[in-house]
This record gives sequence, structure tokens and C-alpha cells, in this order.
Amino acid sequence: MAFCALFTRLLSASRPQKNGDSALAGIAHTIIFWATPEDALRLGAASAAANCLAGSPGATRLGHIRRLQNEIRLETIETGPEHFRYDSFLRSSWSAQEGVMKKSIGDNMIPRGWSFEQGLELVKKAGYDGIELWLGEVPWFQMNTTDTQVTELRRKVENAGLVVSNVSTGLHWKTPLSARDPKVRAEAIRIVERELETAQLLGCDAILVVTGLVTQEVPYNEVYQRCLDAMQQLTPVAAKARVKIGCENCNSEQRFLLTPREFWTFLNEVDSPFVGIHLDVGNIHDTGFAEQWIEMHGPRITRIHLKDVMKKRGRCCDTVYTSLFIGDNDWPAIRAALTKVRYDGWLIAEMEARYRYAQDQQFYDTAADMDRLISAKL
Amino acid sequence: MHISRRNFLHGMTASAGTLWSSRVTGLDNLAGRQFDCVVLDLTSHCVLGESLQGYQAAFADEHHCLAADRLDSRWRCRMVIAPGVGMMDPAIGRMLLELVQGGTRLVLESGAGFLSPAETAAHQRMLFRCFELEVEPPVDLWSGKLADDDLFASRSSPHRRKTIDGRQAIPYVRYVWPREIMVRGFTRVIPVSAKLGEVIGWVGSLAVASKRPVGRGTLIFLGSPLGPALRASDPEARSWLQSVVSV
Repeated sequence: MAFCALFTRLLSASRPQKNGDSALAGIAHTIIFWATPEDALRLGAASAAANCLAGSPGATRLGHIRRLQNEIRLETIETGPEHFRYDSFLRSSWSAQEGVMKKSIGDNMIPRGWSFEQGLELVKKAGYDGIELWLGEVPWFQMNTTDTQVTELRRKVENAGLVVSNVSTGLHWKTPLSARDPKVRAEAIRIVERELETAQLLGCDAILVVTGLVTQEVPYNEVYQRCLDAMQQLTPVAAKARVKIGCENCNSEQRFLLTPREFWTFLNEVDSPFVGIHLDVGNIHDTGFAEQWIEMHGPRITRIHLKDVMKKRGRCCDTVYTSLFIGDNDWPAIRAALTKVRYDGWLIAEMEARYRYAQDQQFYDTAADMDRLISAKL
Repeated sequence: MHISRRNFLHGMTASAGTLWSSRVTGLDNLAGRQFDCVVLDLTSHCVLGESLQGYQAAFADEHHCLAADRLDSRWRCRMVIAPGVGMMDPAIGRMLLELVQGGTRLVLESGAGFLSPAETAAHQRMLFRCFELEVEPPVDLWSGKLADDDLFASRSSPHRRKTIDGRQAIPYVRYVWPREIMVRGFTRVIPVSAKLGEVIGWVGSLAVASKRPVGRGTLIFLGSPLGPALRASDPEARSWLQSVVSV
């Protein structure tokens, strides 16, 4: 009975009105009749994209469909140690308190010479809810850091009144998953596996991966195929760990997956709810608009990195990146897009342009900027 | 047509018996079989798995992919491809040579570009012992500084491009047989001596591919793996392979 009611509601929610909406109607029918919960989740992303491509004519109905998808999942999925809760999966990367985004900042921002404990105290004082741990970039968190030491890091983070928002790494710039040398690729895979292991130990459910690197030496098509292989190899590991892999969009530096549509196709080909996008709104430069990436990827966004970018006004020192609100990102549009897709997860400050003096002040200033963004007072 | 129960049972028993005896005596193995094109899976001796996948993708259904331990010198096949070769069991090497002498065209693709110096030395010895191929250690085509290294110095890995003959090397292999075509080189190429054959592929002035008649067949050596480009659907790589198949 409940199933029939859901069916009727879904049909009414997805009644075709404009050209793009017919795609939504088709998806809705498929969800009801054929889709497994896993497929339904994927179709959710597909419907978001269909909606985006069709010029957003069916945003309200999309919301209805998403809610119904959640209800279907709740009704149909068994729970237990062997069965994955897709409803909790959908929300798990986002905050526990719906509607409130949380603030985090990377431990690689902790001023040089400071201890981890001093850094945590600063992060807490500045008003952040969590901390992003960068594997391989700080002395306390390296590839050879033992499980016991990682658990100790977690204890320190929790003692400081924080949580670990996610695990990231920059090691893949030197050891890319797309390398031609099979030994380098094996090492790159091991780095991701260690990220997944440590994420579990640290009690978080998302990691960042720089997926591949197109260079003059290694052409795009090779990189694409190798990254696809790597993600498909890592998917079972991520699923077992219940940790999502967020592929970061490092558009200009990677020269890979340069448009939201291309990224979307890549994720479709990976075809796993455990692989999504770690969206960096500062990385998009002149190849698009962050707000459109948010709209298009919606439920597939695992985490969001915040920084601003000098698109038009040239470089600042040796980087195009800068502090929030002084670059060329359209922050009101970004905020609106976050509302549109109902993102209420982690926002993580990634300030690549550091203060030259009083570096601790950057923590306070960035936290205040993030508060303004979250409260939409722009 | 009327078949009595007795005849039916008799026929079935005879068929089952034949099938069983052929399995027991090994008559259903691949000995003496005829193939057009075989892609050889050297398993652990294939050091570039993606190269094997590239050839498989390029040929789609028009080939047989067989593990090297099933290789038999009694096969009659027009072409055998051994992708991403690292090391090779001497017995496999002997069988391949016998096949070539019997008229097969063998494409031997070296995968030694990323091996350690000790492994490379073993690879060189193996090629000479099995096929009389003289090859040199890998040459890195990317040992010069690239334009964007400064731009993304903090993030990108340093790629260097090799200078050959005082000029910056073009990262392409120029094949001159069976048709002239350019395919991207695979970073570290294995130069081959032209003493006993004809050079069919060049990177600048480096000979990286050769062919040589052996008995009634031909031995083609590729010092820059083609498989990864095939896997990435590179049209020139596929076109070159097609030409080699159809010569």
C-alpha cells in the first residue's frame, strides 16, 4: 500500500512539463520499477545533472524525488552488519545537524615550528569544528605513521574538542595514479589505501585524492584510462572501509576532468557510491563557475575546499589563489548553489596563499569569512 | 527420421566415451591448432599489464589471448604478439623462435623501460640469448625541463625532456614500416641495434624498433610499448598495428 502511495506521489512529482522534465519522469519511473537502492542513488545524481542541463526547470520536483528516494531506501534496505544503510550513506558525509555547514581547516596550515597540540588549540580557539589531516605533509602524519600513532592523533583531536573532517594528501602530485611506471602506480594506490585505513582509524568517512595528472609526457587518454582503473580497483576497498573517495578537481594543475560534465561522466564510469567529488571552489579558474559544479554534482560532493582565486587580476606572489572574498569567485552564487543542492556538510579552508606574518591570525580571519559565507551575509 | 531407443543410447555412449578419452589423452589441447593472431599473456613476466589489455582491446574478437604456458611450437599461426615483455622463460623463448622459423610473425614488445638496472640487464641478456636481439638500457625521453615546471613548481612532478643530438627530443616514435606513422613514445625507450635487421622505428636518431627475417617468419621488436597507446584508443597506434597485421 505504502509502495503504491509512493508510486503515485513520485509520478505526480515528476509529471513532464518542460523538455528536461521528461528525463526526470523517466528516471522516477525507473527508480520505482527497476532500480536497486544503489542504482537509485546513482539516478539521483543523474537526475541532478538532467536538471542542470535542462536549465533547472524542475528543481522542486527533483527535491521531491530525492525525498522519495530516501523513503524508498528506508523502506527497502535491510539493516545489519552485512547490509549498508544507503540513507545514512547519503547524509553521512554531511553534518549531523541538518542545515548547518561545519568549518574545518587543514593541519598543513599550522604554522611551521608549532606542535600538533598547539595547532589544535589554535584551530579550536578560532572557531572551527574540525580539522583536515594531510597525509605526508606534516611531521605527525606520514605514510610510516603507525596505526597506534594515528589513533593517538585522533585522541588529541577529540581532547581538543574537534573531530577529523577528512583525510587528504598531496602525495599524488609526485606519485600519480596515472603514472606510466607500474611501480609508481602501485605506490599511488598504496597511498590511497593508507588514506582509507587512517580515515577509519580517525573516525571520518571521506578522503581526498588527486586523481590523475595530465602532463606533456603522459597524455590525457592514458591518464583517463588509468584513473578509471585505479578507482575501480579502489572501490571495493573504500566500500569495505565505509569511506568515500573524493576525487578533487584540480583543474588547472591536473589538466584533467576540466569541466563539470566531464567529471560527471568520469564518476558515472567509475559507477560507485563510494567515489564522488571533493570540490574545490577555488580551483575552477577560467574553465567554468564553481556554482555550476555544485549544482551538477550535488549529492556526489563529499567535501568542499574553500579558497578564492584571482581569475582576472593576475597572480599574487607565486600563486593565483588568495583568501576568501578578495578573489574573483562569485561567493553569493556559490552560497546559493549550496542551498539549492541542500549541502550541509564540511567546508574546509585551504589557504594556499599564507600570511607572511602573524600566521595564526589567518585562522581567525578565515573562520570569520567562513561564518559569513555559512550565514549567507554576503 | 526414426531413431530407436537402443541406437540413441548407443550413439550417446559412444560420443561421451570419445569426449572422455580425448580429455584423458590430451587430444583437446591446442597442439597443432591454427590461429590467425595470438596475443600472448606472459603472466608475471609481462611487466606492463595495460599493454596486454591494449592489444586485446585493439583486436577485440579477432584474436586469441593465450597464456604462455599453453604455447606450443606445433601451432600454426600467422602472428603472435608478446606485449610488455620483462623476462621470459627460456622454453617459451625457444618455442617462440621455432614458431617464427616456421613462418610466424612475432611482435616482441619490450616492457623494460621501468625495470631496475639489474632487471634491465637480465632483460638484455634474455633478448640476446633467445632472439639474438641487442638492446641498450632505457633512454628517458623526458629528462629536459618543461615549460610549465615553473608555473606549477609547487605541485607538479618534475618532468624532464631528454636532449638528443643537441636538440630537444620529440616525444614521438616515427615508424617507417609497414607505413610511415607517428605514435607517442612511452617515456623510456629501449634502443635496439640495427646490426641484424632493419630499423623500422626511430625517436630522433635512436633506433627503437626493428624487424628481421628469421627462417620463414619475421621478428619485430618494439622498444617503445605500443599497448598503452592502443588502450587509450590512439588512432595512429591502431592504424600501425592494423598495417602490421595485414602486411
